Amino acid sequence: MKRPSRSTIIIILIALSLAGVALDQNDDLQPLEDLALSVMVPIQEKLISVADGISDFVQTTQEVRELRRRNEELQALADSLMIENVRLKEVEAENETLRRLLKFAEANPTHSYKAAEVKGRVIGRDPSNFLSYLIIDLGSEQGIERGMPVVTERGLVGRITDVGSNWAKVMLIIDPSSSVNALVQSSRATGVVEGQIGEGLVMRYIPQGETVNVNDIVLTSGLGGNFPSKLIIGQVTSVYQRDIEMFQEARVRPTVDFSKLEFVLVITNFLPTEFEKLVP
Amino acid sequence: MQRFNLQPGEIAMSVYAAALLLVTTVIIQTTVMPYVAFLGVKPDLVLLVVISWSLLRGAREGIIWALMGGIGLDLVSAAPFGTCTVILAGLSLLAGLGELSVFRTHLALPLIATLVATLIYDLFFLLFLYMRGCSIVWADTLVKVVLPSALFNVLLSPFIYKALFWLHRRTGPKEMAL
Repeated sequence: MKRPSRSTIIIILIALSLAGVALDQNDDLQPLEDLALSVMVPIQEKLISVADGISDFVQTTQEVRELRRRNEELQALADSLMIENVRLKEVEAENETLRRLLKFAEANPTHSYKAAEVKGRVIGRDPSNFLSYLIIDLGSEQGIERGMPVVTERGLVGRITDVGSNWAKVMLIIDPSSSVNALVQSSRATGVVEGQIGEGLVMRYIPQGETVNVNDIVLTSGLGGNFPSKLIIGQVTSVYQRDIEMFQEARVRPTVDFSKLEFVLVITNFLPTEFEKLVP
Repeated sequence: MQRFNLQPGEIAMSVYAAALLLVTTVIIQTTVMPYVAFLGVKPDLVLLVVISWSLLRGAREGIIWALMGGIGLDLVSAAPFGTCTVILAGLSLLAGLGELSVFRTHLALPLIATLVATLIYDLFFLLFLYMRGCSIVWADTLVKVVLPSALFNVLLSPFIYKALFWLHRRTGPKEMAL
């Protein structure tokens, strides 16, 4: 069969086109379009779905790469926010502590205070299991002297026993060497609060006949001149009273949590009275 | 470098290395141990180190470690200076007898030695405090502090002893194989 010439093909195509235009004018092309589309549509659908799949795959790959990068960015952001959050919480906690200490200082204007950060947060920086001492970051350079009382907004902590140039040792009231003259707030019964190994505090030498009840508040009495008066020591948890003994005893739970001390106040305008100097 | 008074051919840790080790132990005792305290009781690392070394190397080296560790503890403790040194020195002499024991390599030796040493250490420490006028309720203190402390130390002693045994093998005289 003789192959048609190029010009023949062009003429045929032009003729078909013109015929199509003419048929389309009268909507006579519809059956042909239906036939063409009915064949094309499934193929198109398949092709589109394949193309979509490829496009999705390429896009997904790009997205995964982008998501990884974004994820890394977000992770870094989350890390930095977490660190910032922790820092802010610490600042907030510190702020709260200092605010409470300030409030306490304002409520007790008769004393002047210096805020000191306790170097060790945990009680028992002393290496032994039997002594309860803390070290604070204030010393003689900051005007700290031996015997000065140490408090927090929750109550009495102890007193300074040793002073260096920029450190001081604080003997806690729960140390077995510690004794504080005290009184029961409700009944005004007096006694001496002593520290005990593994026991906390015990109030001794409470005269018989004085009324001491569980939950009574124990304050410093100021007697003896070692501590200012009216500082909170703790709360009575149990009372031991036997008629055959001269005095009653009471177990006292300190209001200060010595294991969580972070900041303390040193009362700098109070020094223990030295009775030897008073004796002529 | 200065070394302990040695027998010919014997290799020992230098005094400086021992001092560094003990200073580190004292620092850990005063900073880290309060965080691992259980029921308010913390282990006595320096005591464990001194007892273990005395068992391994005898009283001659043990007492030097005891003196260095004791002085370190006394410097940071609120107890009267010398309290820790005296008790540790005495205990190192006692533990040094263990060096002669045929059970030196047996794990039971450090366990028993630690138990006895902790009880003696704590009781003498309390005695010193009592003599200073501290108020001590003996029975309660024994139950709530001394016994838990001894138990804590006994639990830790195998680890300390093993670590020091390794150091002893690295720095000590070679033992003759039978």
